[in-house]
Amino acid sequence: MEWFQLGQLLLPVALLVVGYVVGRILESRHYVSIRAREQALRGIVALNTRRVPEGVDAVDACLLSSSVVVSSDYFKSFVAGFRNLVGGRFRGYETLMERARREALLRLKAQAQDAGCPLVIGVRFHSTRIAGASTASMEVMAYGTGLRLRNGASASVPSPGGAA
Amino acid sequence: MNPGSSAPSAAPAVSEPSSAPLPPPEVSAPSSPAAGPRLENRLPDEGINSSQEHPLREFAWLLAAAVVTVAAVALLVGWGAQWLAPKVPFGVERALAERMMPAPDPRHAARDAALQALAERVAAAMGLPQDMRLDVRFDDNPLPNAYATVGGHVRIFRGLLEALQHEDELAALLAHEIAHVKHRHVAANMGRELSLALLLGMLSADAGAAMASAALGQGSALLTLHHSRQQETQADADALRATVALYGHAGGVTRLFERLGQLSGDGTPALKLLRTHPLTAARQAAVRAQAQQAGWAVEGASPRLPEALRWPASADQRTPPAAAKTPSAGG
Repeated sequence: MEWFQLGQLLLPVALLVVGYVVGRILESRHYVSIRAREQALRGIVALNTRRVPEGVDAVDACLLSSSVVVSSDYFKSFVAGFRNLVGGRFRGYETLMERARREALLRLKAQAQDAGCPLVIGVRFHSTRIAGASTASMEVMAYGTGLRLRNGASASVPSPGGAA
Repeated sequence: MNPGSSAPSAAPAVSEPSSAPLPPPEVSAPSSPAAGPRLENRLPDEGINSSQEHPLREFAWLLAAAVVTVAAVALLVGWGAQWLAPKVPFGVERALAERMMPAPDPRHAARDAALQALAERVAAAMGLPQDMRLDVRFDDNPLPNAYATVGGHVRIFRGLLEALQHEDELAALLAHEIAHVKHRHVAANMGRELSLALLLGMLSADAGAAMASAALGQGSALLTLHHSRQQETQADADALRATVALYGHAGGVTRLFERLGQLSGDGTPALKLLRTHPLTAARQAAVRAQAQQAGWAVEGASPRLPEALRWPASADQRTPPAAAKTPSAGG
């Protein structure tokens, strides 16, 4: 009987440890991959202007969209549950959402690259909660208008000291 | 620029989520192959939109705050329930019991009557108030257990009765359960559990909050178990006094604990924080110490159990005695 009760107490602890360790490893790997791809895709420029910037000679346009679905881990949700009581920054969800937005933009740029569009304008983000109230899961969508330029010109000018 | 837009960026020319506002695009930068404005995406800054703080640090703070809060609330509710319970008229408990309790089983009428008669003698020795009526019944259950519940209802299981030989052991058991009735432990526990459940239910039903409230519920359950063990200790002390008053010695209590120890053991002593009762060995030691301090005899003579409660029972009663002996958590 008491072993059963001990299990009831220890199961959430075990889930917390697994959620934390695995979630942390996956998150740091994701950040490494995001940073590498951001560097690699610097040639594609995404802007949220509605009109083609002056001086850009666009010959063709297409709609591009990308989306990312992310889920919280047990640890993040657990901490967020306590955070609900006292208020303040949902730090775990901040990194979750930041990764999702950056990933969505990267996917948009990857699609722009495939479509031969060095410039994407009118970029918007949209996020939706999915999977109901029982799981903290989000979809982040990015969409914009990809432009092909005359003579296959590239839009960006990498600045030598611009790496963050 | 677009009123319906959900784009988070304030800078008109930039959509990177974490980039700071850029200087206005340079028109016709000389190195641009497109000969247009100089357009670029800065790499996002790290640590502005997200926190660099270690997640475990936040976790530790929140958990510590929650544990302190829950401990305070659970203790307060526990004390409140214990303070309030005796002020609730016993009639309310009885009315509740009448709706919950099934009618007595006529097959056990003889045993019920024998138990009830002994219980009334014990209750008189304990000074149980007149309005607290007892309703002691036999329960044909092989587990070695007995319990007191709402409205002065006490149940003695066959599994425990089988193990007893003398009347003073049964009297000690009854006195222990009657002490729970007398001190209104049942009402206090119901009040405490209800108010804790209500408090935890007030947290929002969000995914994370459900987890948090489950964790808080487990934490408050530990405190509830602590209260439960305190109640058992109080009931043991009362049982000892009643047994000595009736038989002139403490033998009934010590032999009862011996039987309990043989029947169910003490489980894993390291897990005693998870038990509703103190360890049987500790209860026995406490009773011996109390008897010694008061100068009561630890052992003495006692009549055998009343005829109707002896085991193996007469042929008209069902269930052969060999059928039972399932060691389990004792009451």
